Amino acid sequence: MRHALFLLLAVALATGCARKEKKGSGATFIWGRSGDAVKLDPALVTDGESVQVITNLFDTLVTFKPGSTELMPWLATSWTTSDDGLVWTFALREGVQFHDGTAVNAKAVVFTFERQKDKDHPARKKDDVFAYYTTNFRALKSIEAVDEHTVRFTLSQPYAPFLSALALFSCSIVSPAAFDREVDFSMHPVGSGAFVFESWQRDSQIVLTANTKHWDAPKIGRLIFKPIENPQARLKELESGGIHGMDNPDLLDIASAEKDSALSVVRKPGINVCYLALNNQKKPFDDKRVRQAIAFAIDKKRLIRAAYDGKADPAVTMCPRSMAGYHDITDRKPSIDRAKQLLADAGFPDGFSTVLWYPAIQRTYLPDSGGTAIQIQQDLKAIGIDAKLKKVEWAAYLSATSNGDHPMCILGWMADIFDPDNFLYVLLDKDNAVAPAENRSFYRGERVHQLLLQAQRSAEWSKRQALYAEIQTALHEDVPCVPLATAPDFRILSSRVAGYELYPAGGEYFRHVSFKK
Amino acid sequence: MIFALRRILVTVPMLIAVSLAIYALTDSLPGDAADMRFEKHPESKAEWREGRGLNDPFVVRWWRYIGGVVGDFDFDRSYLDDQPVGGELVRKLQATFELTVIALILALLIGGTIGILSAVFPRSPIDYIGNFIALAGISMPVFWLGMLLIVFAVNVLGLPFTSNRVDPLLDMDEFVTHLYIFESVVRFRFDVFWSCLANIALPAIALSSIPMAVITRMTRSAMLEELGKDYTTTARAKGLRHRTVILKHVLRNALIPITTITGLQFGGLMGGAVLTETVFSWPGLGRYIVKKGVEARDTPVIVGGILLVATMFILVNLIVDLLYAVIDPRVRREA
Repeated sequence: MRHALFLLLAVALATGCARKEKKGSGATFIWGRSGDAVKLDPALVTDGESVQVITNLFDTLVTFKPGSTELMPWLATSWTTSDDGLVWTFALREGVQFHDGTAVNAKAVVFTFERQKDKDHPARKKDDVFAYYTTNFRALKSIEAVDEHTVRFTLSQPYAPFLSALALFSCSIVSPAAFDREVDFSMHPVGSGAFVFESWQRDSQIVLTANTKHWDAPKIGRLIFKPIENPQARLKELESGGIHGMDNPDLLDIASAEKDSALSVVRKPGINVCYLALNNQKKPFDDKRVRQAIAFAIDKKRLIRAAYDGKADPAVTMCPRSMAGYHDITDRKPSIDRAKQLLADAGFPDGFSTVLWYPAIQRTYLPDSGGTAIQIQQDLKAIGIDAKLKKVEWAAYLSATSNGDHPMCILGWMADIFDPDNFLYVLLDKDNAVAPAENRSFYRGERVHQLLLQAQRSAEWSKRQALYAEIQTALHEDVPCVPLATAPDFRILSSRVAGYELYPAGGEYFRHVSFKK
Repeated sequence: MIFALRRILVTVPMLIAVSLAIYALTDSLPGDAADMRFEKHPESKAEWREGRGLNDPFVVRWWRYIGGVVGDFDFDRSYLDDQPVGGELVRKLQATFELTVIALILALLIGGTIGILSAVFPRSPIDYIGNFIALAGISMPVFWLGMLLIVFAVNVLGLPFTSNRVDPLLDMDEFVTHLYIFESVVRFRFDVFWSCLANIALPAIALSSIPMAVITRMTRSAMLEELGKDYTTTARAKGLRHRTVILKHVLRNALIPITTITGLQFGGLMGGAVLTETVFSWPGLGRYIVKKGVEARDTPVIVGGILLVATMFILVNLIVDLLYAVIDPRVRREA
């Protein structure tokens, strides 16, 4: 027995020192994040964790400038639009290859879009649902390959956010050859992006290697995505060098991370909005004066101190401040007297009782849903409105509020497409106020509806900007819902890391990341 | 043997009933997987529900599910990521098994030792310290203890802390199972072995806190009871050494309750330890069932997971029953 143990120990010493690492050259960057990806087929995913990986694996026709929401040419080097705004022609970058060696050409672009468009496309599986396509490409009539490096999109009606929509992760160009294989594309993705898929162990790690043939090839050799659910544990692992960067830190840890010279905190204004939806179809919220009274009652600054640890900006309109098209309106000053006066005018001098719904979940835009609800409850109590709190589990919450079961509810929205349309039309147009509704205020303002459609169809930005200003002014007067706060995005990185940019558009792009010497 | 077979067969209808109950329970909750998955896309919800057959009546869906499980051993695909649940459950079970075994070994070694010492030296400082450790272990919430261990390791000892099971840089392409510690020894991959041990240390300590406390108390009381019996006095009277009396006679007789309680703890831990797994990002069963299944309303994951956990519990209890026969010759003779 003792001899066997010694033997084992000897072998361990002889072989154990030999560390066998994964093949490949260059530095490894490990990104710690709050969860694992769901799948890696860009057209099918709906969750942020998957998008973080997808933006590194694939290219889109146009993409975001580093760290901004402005667009720049990417797979498409240039494009032209017809005068009526219906026909878009894109010239593709030449000599680009997918990771499987096949060419990125017009046919691949057509394949990418037709797979999502045609119900009987051969590459479409039985229960594939292309949610982002359905929501954002209603206006796309056809797409054709003009020649090897030219594609043409034809729209059925002018759709101004079209170019922004093409930068969406779901429009990532996929390799058609990869769909002829036995393996599931969403587990073995093939794109043309700056990184190549290597392996995925669920809930443990996703490994990508650098695509050295890419025209903007990465500086690091390997990229690993590691899910570390608990934000404190994630920060500790960053401190001890196990990972090199992380997302979604706990807001309460930011101050100490800022003091640590081994870490650097990256902060960008978020493109999201948290709001209090008032069900405009239910009494007494069908009365504009009641809604205005509530807007006067809520003290957003105090709410942000209490429920966001002071780390958020008050939202004035439903379009976030950092989004082009935001109209700078002076917000109402919280005033109990004016709120009470408006309530009395509406026939509720003694207030009324109602129910305030809030979700049992934390989101970027809602880090403390209970705290937010309590603050609103107190503000409403001051003007005589007795709001009972109702906490609902997330799935049930989404389902019930989209059916309009709530009198008041707290919700938020993060942009998909970087256009005011994605906030104002999606959240407040009457088209979206039919159950199951995204317009959870069930606001059916006719004038706003007409203006929103007009803005959607104008090609000129200055004209659209004027329209969105008018819409936001009208909404501010009408108060279908009360915009509460816009939460910033935070990342923490090791101070050894250089070249990291936070993309407010969502997704992560690691091709410019490197390590300082 | 027949006894064991009968026990296993009896559980099959029980498991089917369990699956029906769980299926009905998750189904009766408001909201479903589509609400979560297509949070921002109300129109895609209906399309997806239709595609996955969620619009069929409840009984039809359950019958299809249980038919798949019994007929093809197919646990359906997840509602969240469309991947087969069966394979994922097996992978997660191995991660949980590894953590449970290491945690229980720790609990038995430390808890057992403290228990024996407390019984041999009752009301001595060692008894009081052991009592204190047991009380602390059972009353400390594991997520707090886990964080405390991490902070201690990183900020006090300056050790590198990595969550999850193994250093992601190691080449493990040749590995076929997910029992990394076991397989790395078999393959003489001691780089993987050390990395696994380093990663499992903190979660195993955190997870072992409660079983350790239970085992300490159980060992102490079982030993004390045996120590007061006549045969102990006899053994002493015939001049046996103190150590021999304690280890060969008293401990052996005290083993039955200790085995029972260890078995129960093992069965419970095999169901996955959600809190420990969450703090240390351990890709085990508990996190899979609760975080992925319950939070995303992923019925196949919930039902499949609970079926697996129930089966594990039954199996562990069966093994414990068989172990009694090994420990106690009287049980063997009766059977």
